[in-house]
Amino acid sequence: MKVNDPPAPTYAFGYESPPTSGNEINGLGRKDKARARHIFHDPSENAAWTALDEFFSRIAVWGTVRHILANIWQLRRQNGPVSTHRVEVDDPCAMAERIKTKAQDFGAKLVGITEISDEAIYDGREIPYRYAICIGAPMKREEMLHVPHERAGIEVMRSYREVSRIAIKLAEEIRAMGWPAYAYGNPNSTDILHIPLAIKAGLGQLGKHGSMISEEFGSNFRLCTVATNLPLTMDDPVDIGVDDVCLHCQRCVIDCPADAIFPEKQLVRGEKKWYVDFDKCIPYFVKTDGCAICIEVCPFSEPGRGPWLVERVMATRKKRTSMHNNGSTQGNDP
Amino acid sequence: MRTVRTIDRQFVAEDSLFQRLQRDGRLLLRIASMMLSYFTIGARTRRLYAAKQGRKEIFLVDKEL
Repeated sequence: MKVNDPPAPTYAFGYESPPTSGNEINGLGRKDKARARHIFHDPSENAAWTALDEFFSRIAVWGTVRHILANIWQLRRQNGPVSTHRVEVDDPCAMAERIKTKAQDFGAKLVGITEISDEAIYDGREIPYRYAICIGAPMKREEMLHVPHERAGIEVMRSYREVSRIAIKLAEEIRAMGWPAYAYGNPNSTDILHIPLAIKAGLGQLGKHGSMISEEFGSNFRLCTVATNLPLTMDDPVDIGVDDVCLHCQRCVIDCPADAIFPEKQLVRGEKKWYVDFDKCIPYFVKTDGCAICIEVCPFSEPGRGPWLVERVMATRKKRTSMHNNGSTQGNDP
Repeated sequence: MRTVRTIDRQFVAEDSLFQRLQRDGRLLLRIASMMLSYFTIGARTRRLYAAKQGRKEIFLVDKEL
């Protein structure tokens, strides 16, 4: 996909007193492990970039706002009464399968289960549940091809609403079984980081553009999480070769008008990983109703391309391994 | 104006019908006020921003909201 004539990264808005750099708050260059902190979307309004977030809310088109309001309305059911009749779980593996099938029946296209860990919880927040059921629902590609334009922004919000709906229904289903469950809907979630959980749950891997890449949908999907104590078997992370592709592919780096994507992995809160320059990305994100260029130009996001890329990467790895083994064998020959 | 944010755990688990109705009523009021803000305060911001854009001036988000 090629984005034609994206707006220039010049801005008719700004700060009189610039806030603390988002990269600093995110812990760019920091060697020690620490929890993530809010910068932009934060209802407590203590986040450094709240004014810009407020401005973003006000200049948003009605098409996106109506989905957000509808999402807020449906999220009143994110938590609720738990049935007093508890279904005992003798086989967590069978229960995990049952839950995944339910999620798929409700419309989820990606489902995985993992344990909720510290790196997925925002600083100062608590998640009183053990398991995370990570859910992904794809966005309509024909709408997202309009990035960076409000039409794509509207589709993003529609997808968040849809994936929240699935999470809410799943949480209600679990509560009806007598187990507590809480649907962390998006983009309104302020306690939980969905991407690290989804990666741990085997939905995909982190891409160079800072979003998760799945084999089937690339980055053209949205995430939600259901947190619960229902005993479930957890999934393992997957290796679909995203790093192999991202190390050589420069597509998002080149196509990002704000020049926000680092070509190499960065040290962020004690971990080397792909990272996007927050201070460059967010103003462009605000200017263009949510941008999303990087996730749409990603080769994995092109329909049908993901499985092909994974197959290629795996074949290359196999070839390299066999060449290496042959070399070792030959080297060992007397 | 608090347009697009919600807060996790803002809706506590409640079990009686009355409490649920109360919760839904409060939320409906909140959504109505968000909508009102979007079409009043938000419209003013959008107008101001467009005017500043036209004059090639900068809208200061920490000062002019």
